[in-house]
Amino acid sequence: MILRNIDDKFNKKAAGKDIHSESYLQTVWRRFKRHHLATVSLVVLVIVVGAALLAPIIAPYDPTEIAGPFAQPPSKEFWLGTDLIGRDMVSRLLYATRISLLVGVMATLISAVIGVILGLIAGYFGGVADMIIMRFTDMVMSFPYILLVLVAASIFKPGLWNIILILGFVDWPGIARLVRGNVLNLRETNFVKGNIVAGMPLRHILFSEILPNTVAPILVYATSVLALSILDEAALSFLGQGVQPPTASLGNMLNGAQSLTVLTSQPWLWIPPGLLIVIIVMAINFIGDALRDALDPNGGR
Amino acid sequence: MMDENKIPLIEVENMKKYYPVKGGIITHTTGYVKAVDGVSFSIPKGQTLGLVGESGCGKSTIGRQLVGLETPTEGKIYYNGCDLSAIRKNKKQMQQIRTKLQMVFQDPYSSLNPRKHIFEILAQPMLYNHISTKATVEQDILKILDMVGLPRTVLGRYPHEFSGGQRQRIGIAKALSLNPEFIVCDEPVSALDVSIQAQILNLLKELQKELGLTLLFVGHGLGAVNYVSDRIAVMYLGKIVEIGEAKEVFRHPVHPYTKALLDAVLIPDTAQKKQERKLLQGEIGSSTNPPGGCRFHNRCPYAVEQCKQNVPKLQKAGGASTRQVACPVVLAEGKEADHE
Repeated sequence: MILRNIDDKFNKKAAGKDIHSESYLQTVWRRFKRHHLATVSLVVLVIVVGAALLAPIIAPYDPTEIAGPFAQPPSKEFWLGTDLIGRDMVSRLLYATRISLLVGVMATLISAVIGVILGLIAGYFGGVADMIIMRFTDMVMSFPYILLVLVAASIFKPGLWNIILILGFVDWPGIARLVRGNVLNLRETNFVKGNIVAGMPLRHILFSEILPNTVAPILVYATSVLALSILDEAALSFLGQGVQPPTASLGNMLNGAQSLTVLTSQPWLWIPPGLLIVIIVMAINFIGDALRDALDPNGGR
Repeated sequence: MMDENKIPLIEVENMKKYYPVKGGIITHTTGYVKAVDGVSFSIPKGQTLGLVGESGCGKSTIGRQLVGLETPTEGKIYYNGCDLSAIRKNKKQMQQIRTKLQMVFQDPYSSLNPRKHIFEILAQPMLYNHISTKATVEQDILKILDMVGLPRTVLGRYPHEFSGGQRQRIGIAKALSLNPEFIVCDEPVSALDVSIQAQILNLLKELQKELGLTLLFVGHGLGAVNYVSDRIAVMYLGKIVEIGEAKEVFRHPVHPYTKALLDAVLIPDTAQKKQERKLLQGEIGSSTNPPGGCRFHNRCPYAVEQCKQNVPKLQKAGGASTRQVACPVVLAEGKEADHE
C-alpha cells in the first residue's frame, strides 16, 4: 500500500497520542478569535469578572458602611457619588456585580445539570420516561415563570441562595429539550450503535459518546441562560423579591430608581448599575454567538 | 461445493422481525411492518454469505439482529451452536460473545465519533473488553492499522480529517480490534466512490483470508456482493427467494426475481447498446401488507394461479448443487431452463 510508505516518514514521532497536529481547543480558540465583537466582549467580561472577584481588595470603601454625605454626586472622593444613605457607589457596584454574577452562574449550573440529566434520560430511553419528563417540561415551560418566581420567592424567604435555587429550577426546560433532541439524533448514529455492538456499558455510551457531542449546543444555550438569569435576578431584586439589602446586587441597586426624584435628579444612582447589566448581558450573548460557530466540529478550518 | 464437515458458525432459523405501526386517534398498534418474515440460513466458518435485494427488503434488518442491536420477534440465531437469545440472559457470557460479533457500517461518515481522535475510538473498546492492556494497547492498535492499510499517523487525528475510504478503513479496524469471528458488513462500500469501493472490497477479502473471518455481506451492488461472497442469498420482501453458490446464482439465476435483478445490471458494453432488458414492472409490494401467496407474484412474468394461493418454500434445485429456490413454477418447468 502507498499509505504504508508515508508511514516511514513519521516513524520517529509515531508514538500514538502525542501526534496531535492541533488540539480541539486550539481549533476552537482560533475560530473564536475571528469574531471581533466576541473577542472584545471576552476582554470586557474578563475585566468585569476580575474586578468583581477582586472587590475586597480594590473597593475603596466598605459597601455597607456609611462613608460620606447622602446622595452626593460623583466627586474626587466618591467617583460615582454616594447613595441615599451615604454608601460609596463604586464599592457597592463592585460587590453587586459579584452577587449578580454568582446568581447567574450558579443558577445556570443548576439548570444545566437538571436539564442535561433529564434530557439524556428522556432522549435515550424514550417511551414512558420520555413522555413523563417531556410533559413535565412542558408544564414548567408553560407556567408564567415570573409569577412562579414571585410566588416561590414569597413562600421561601427571599435571599441569595433561594433566588439561585428558584432561578435554577425555572431555567432548565430549554436545556432539557435541547439535550433530548440531540440525544434522539445521536442515539441512532452509527458510532453509538457501533459502541453498543462493541459491548460498551451504558455509562460510556451516555457520558462518553453522546454527551460530548451535545456539549457545544449546551454551552451555547447556557450562555443565553446565564444572561437571562442575570436579568431575572435584576428584575426580581428590582421588585424587592430578590437579593435583600443590605447585600448589594445590580438589581436592588436599581431599586432606588423607582422613585421619581432619583430617576430625574440623581442619575448616578441608577445609570451605572443599569449600564453594567446591559454590558454584561450583551458581552455574554456575543460570546455565545461566537461559541456556536467555533464549536462546530465540521465547520470551516 | 459446500463442505459437509464444516460446522456453521452462524445459523439462523425462521427469523422474523415485525415492527409495530402505531396510529389512530388513541395511539395503538394498527399493524406490523414485516421487515423479515421467516428467514433461515447458515454460514459456515470462514465463508462469506452475500445478501442482496431491493431497498427495504429486510437485508439490513437481518444484520442488525445478528450483532444484537435488535432482537428478533421470532426465530432463533445460533452462534457456534449456542442460542443467542439464551445467552443474552447471562450478562457475563453475553459480554464475551458480543465482541465476537461485530459490524461494519454503511455510512463511514457517521460511524466514528467526531469528538474523539482515532486512538481513543480504537482503544476504548479494547481496554474495556480486556482485549488489550494499557501497556500493550498502542502496539495492538498499530498492528491493526497496518492490517487495514493506514499509517500510524492517523492516531492523533479526528474523523473529519479523513476521506470516506479512510474512514471506512478505520471502521473496519474498529470491528477487527475486538478479535471478532463474525462481521456483518452492512453495505460497506455503497457510500464510497467507485474507485475506492474496489480497494475496500479487496481489503475485506484479504482480511477474511488472513484472519479466517466469517462475513455476512449485505449489499445491493450485485457485482460487489458476487466478488466477495462464497454464497449468495437473494431476498424479496422479507423472504429469501434463492440461495446458493455465488457463481451459480450469478451465472444461472433460477428464481424469476433473481433473473430480473441480474437483468437490471447495466453492462458497460457499447456494442450491446440495444440489448433487450427485461425490467420488472410495478413497485415492490408493501411490507405492512404483503401480497398473499408468493410475494413476487404480482410482478412475476411466470406467475400462474397457484402463485397467488400458496406460499412457496425453499426447495433444492436438484442436481449436485446446494442451491435452493422458492419457486415451484420454475422448478417444475424443468432444469433445462436454467442451463440454457
